[in-house]
Amino acid sequence: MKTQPYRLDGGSLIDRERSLSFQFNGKSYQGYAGDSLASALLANGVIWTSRSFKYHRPRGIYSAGAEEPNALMQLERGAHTQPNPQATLIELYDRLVADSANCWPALKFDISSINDYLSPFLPAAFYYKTFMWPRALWHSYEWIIRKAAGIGKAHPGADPDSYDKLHAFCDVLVAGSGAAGLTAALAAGRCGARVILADLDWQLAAHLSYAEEEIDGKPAKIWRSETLSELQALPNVTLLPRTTVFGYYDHNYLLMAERLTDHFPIMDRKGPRQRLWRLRAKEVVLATGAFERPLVFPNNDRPGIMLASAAEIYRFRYGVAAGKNAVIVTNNDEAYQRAYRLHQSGVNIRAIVDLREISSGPFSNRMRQAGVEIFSSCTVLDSKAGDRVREIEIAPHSGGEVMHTQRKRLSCDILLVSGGYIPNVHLFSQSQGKLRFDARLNAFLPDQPGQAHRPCGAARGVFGLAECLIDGFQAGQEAAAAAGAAHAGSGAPPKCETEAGLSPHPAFWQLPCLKSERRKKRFVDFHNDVTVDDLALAQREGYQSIEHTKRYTTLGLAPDQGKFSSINAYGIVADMTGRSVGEVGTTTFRPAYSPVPMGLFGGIDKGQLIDPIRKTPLHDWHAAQSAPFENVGAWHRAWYYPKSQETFYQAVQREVVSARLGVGIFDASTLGKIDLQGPDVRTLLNRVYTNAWTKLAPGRCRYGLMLGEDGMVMDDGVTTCLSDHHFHMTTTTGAAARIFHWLERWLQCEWTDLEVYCSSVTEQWANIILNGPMARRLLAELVDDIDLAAGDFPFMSMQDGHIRGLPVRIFRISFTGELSFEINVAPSYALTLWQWCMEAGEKYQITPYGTEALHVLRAEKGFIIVGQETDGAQTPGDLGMDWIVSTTKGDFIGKRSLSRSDTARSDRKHLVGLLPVIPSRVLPEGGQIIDIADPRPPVPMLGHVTSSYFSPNLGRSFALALLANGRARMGQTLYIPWEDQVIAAVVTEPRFFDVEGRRIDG
Amino acid sequence: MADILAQRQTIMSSLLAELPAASLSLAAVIFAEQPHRCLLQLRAKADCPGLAKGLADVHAPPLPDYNRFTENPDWRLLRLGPDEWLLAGNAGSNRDGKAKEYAGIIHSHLSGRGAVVDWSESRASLSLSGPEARGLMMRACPLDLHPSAFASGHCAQTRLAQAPGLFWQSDAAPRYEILILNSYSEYLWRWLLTSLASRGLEATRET
Repeated sequence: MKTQPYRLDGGSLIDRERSLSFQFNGKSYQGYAGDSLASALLANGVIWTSRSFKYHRPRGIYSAGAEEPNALMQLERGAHTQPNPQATLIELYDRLVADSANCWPALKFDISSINDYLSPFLPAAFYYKTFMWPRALWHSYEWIIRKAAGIGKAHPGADPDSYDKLHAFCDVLVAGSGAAGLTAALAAGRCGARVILADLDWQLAAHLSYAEEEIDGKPAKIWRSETLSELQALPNVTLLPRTTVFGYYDHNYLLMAERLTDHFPIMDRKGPRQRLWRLRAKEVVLATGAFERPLVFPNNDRPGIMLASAAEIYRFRYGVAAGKNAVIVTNNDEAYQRAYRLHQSGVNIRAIVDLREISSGPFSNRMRQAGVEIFSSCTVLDSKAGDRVREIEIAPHSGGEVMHTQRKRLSCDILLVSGGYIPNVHLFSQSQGKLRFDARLNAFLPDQPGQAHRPCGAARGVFGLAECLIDGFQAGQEAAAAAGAAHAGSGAPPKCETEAGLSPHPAFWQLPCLKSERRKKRFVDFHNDVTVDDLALAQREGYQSIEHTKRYTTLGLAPDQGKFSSINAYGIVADMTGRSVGEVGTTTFRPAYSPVPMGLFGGIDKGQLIDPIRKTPLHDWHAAQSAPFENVGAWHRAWYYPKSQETFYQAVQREVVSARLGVGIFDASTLGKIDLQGPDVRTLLNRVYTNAWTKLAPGRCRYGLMLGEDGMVMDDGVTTCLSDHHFHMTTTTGAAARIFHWLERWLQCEWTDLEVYCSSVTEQWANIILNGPMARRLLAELVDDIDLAAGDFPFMSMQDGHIRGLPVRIFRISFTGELSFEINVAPSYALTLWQWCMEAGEKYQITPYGTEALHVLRAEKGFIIVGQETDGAQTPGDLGMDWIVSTTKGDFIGKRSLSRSDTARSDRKHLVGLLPVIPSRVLPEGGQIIDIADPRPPVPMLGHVTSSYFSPNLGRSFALALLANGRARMGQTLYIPWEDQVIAAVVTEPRFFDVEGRRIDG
Repeated sequence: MADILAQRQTIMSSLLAELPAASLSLAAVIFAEQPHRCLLQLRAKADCPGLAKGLADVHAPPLPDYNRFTENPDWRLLRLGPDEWLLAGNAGSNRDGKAKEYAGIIHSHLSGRGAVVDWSESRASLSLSGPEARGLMMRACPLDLHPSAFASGHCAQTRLAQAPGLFWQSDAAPRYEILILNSYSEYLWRWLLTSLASRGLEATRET
């Protein structure tokens, strides 16, 4: 057999010197560089490429672009497989392997095609109707439906490709590189504007490569190459072929997907597969062109039925005859022009079926002269097909009636349909531009702009090459001027003589049809198998809003997004419901314009880079001890330090004991630290904390509680007076940034009379804590110039000094109730100091402890952790911390809220302790507290466990909890149901260890 | 003190040391660190008379406009906000390690009506140059870095990948200098190298 039997001469954008081989459904074929997979398949006589989604009907290549509803591929196999790319958008490369999507076991023998015969039982929305009842069986149904639903298969493994993401900016983005887009870019580029011209095609301005017209006195092809060269030479213009503008968001923010390696054989691909452009454009020119619309008639979905414009593209761009014996069905004069050109170039046009009574324009006469039969006022009643269409049936119609007695059969191997043109308004509408229905074009056109953008050319209903060249040029000039481009040197728009622009044509939302033929399916949305009957059903069932019709029938939900099919549905629904098409309106256009791979959004932000990890200067030391890390905000904090065979529990128990009996060492570098300076710092502290700060002396520290305006505890920490106008505040690790912004907000917005300067110094200081009775002896060996005796260095004070010459700032603060020194040191010396402590502390069995041990130690003392004992709904009183709320100082944030009747009532949830009746049982954190031992729902919940541990220092388990009216329940036994048991616990004060606080000085 | 100074280490210098040696001519991006860079955050009202005096006393360049910096051989002075500046010691200027001294001088002029805060220990100072420096920053940072929008003498506080950062352009080549909090520096470093590696680009370090 001759290879590529449908390949003719010509083909403006293929390279016949470069032959490529590829496989489709296991069979080998040849194509040329420059081919799309669709054009290469057609060249080989393959037009039936796939099956439809629901009925598994045979379907063929229908278009030549992004609107393709049928030719969905499973491209490549193994890890590189891609589900559902459109064959029309796949650039052919050597050794490409593609299979039909949605066929099993084979394209020509597909088991699910039985659905076509079962279709009377599978109406629109049959899933919901049939399978939701009986409810108990839904789980069985669901499995079957899920298997049947969906098309294409994703590889279950990780995506082997990488993706690139960048931020870009321009004065003028031109979306689409047809005649209008090209001249828009040219005009804006010549004006000196920063221009990006993007087109999803791999060739820019492809149409001009085979247009017959002359532009500026040159063949369009020559003018095209000269213009592209000029644009390429402009340093302010970026040309982006293979780039889909797929999302148009607020403030002219657009997303574009650039395909970098998809057009190379897999083995030759290097670097990222695609690039995500996150673009901010001052002005956008929407030169997105128009789609030819399909026609709706019985069995209008057979392989071999194709858009007339697509046949023209295949013939002249690719040198491929879509068929050799064509019939054209149309409602417009432009189709005659296409027909004439095809007829002259080896695609024999057998007949033209015109839905209208009369055709006008020069080409209808030329076709007659060429001997082509023209059937006026005729409609299509049916089509018959084997592997491709072989015959259609037509009949005259008049006034909506079909004269079936005058039926006539026409044999053909391709049926070209042309139902007029639909401006491509997707991006315009995505950007919130408003559409209006145009009765002349029977289509929706851009009306009120949503943002700084200008549609031009066919995208706004301007047709004809001459008109589009001028319209685009003007849009480019205007956009450049609006973007503030410096000079206006765009020159004159290119001139072109064309025979005609677009003529008005009557609407045929569906073709006139015999009643007896209506049981045959008339497809509106090809991919999703939505028929005229489905639309009628939706109207009968009350889904009259077009958005409801869409969801009920799945109209326009396919990968092609109903680009060219939805318009017919709007018209059909309008006729069914007696509304105008404008009243019916359109469904919402949403990103993505065309499918894009998910990996594109991730870029390199995956794996270890999915979220930033903050590390302390001692991180590597902890890691070297095999310490697991706990996430606290973005920080990684050492959680515990297991010795060789230790479990988590064993390690934590050991650390907790060591920190009370000997000396523990802890990395507290993550603690938030804010430097506060200025004459009004004390006033600020008085207002943001609940307690008084007026008299805190230099060198002294004080614990403070911050409330939100609702009176609820927001953060806590220790603040130290360095000098009268200089304080050092600490915050919890996770809240550091929030508290910093909280202070700035009050200073910048509300208290502009206060002069306070805040600076985050969290990372200026590493913080190493020595904790336990041996801490003083150890530190005394290291410190140069500080007297550590309790009398000289009391609890809650700070001293500056040196350790072996190293400047340090030491705080006597304790979160464990033990003698504790917090040593602040420059991070670049943190490891040195830590190692000195470890070496000198060896004789005291110094023990590094992690966050888990810290949590046990502080809980033994009943110290809260904001965010663990609190969830934003606790007042200081709830936590038993009324002592820290000043009643004598002036106003502070949250004060007023504390006197609200609800916040002031005495039976709120209180922080209490819980001691399990069985001392070895550890309560579950988050466990719900009830007062019934044998619960049967409904059971009132009295509170929940906030912290719960086993304490080796107490020799038993214990917990903290928030409990309704808890302080009135001391001594009561309550219950915590957990899985299939109920654990009993006694309510106590929330303090368990060293209640008198004797250990604080060592 | 000498042996103590030898104990100092920054996260960034150990990360830079991991970089394979590549020839400068092949490198798309050349990284360099200025460890322990002298960084002083200044807070004061712009018309605070002590501010100008204090800056003059340490021979700082004139006050810059918003999101710009001024420079002389010793210092760069960045304007970060209405009442916020950053004074950064230049490489080779012998300012590094003397933050306390210079902070004291400026502070003495402010009469308590402002703040000088030492940031030297909190941030890593990393510079990027080479043919792909701008391309790399276009990936890391959401600002327009085209020469018409961001040029020598411009600075910005923004996001670098997903971390908060500060950077400026120090020459037209362009060369960028980044200040990144120590805790984020390893994340940002790995992000920058991964971005280059994913595009098959070589990185090297300035020696």
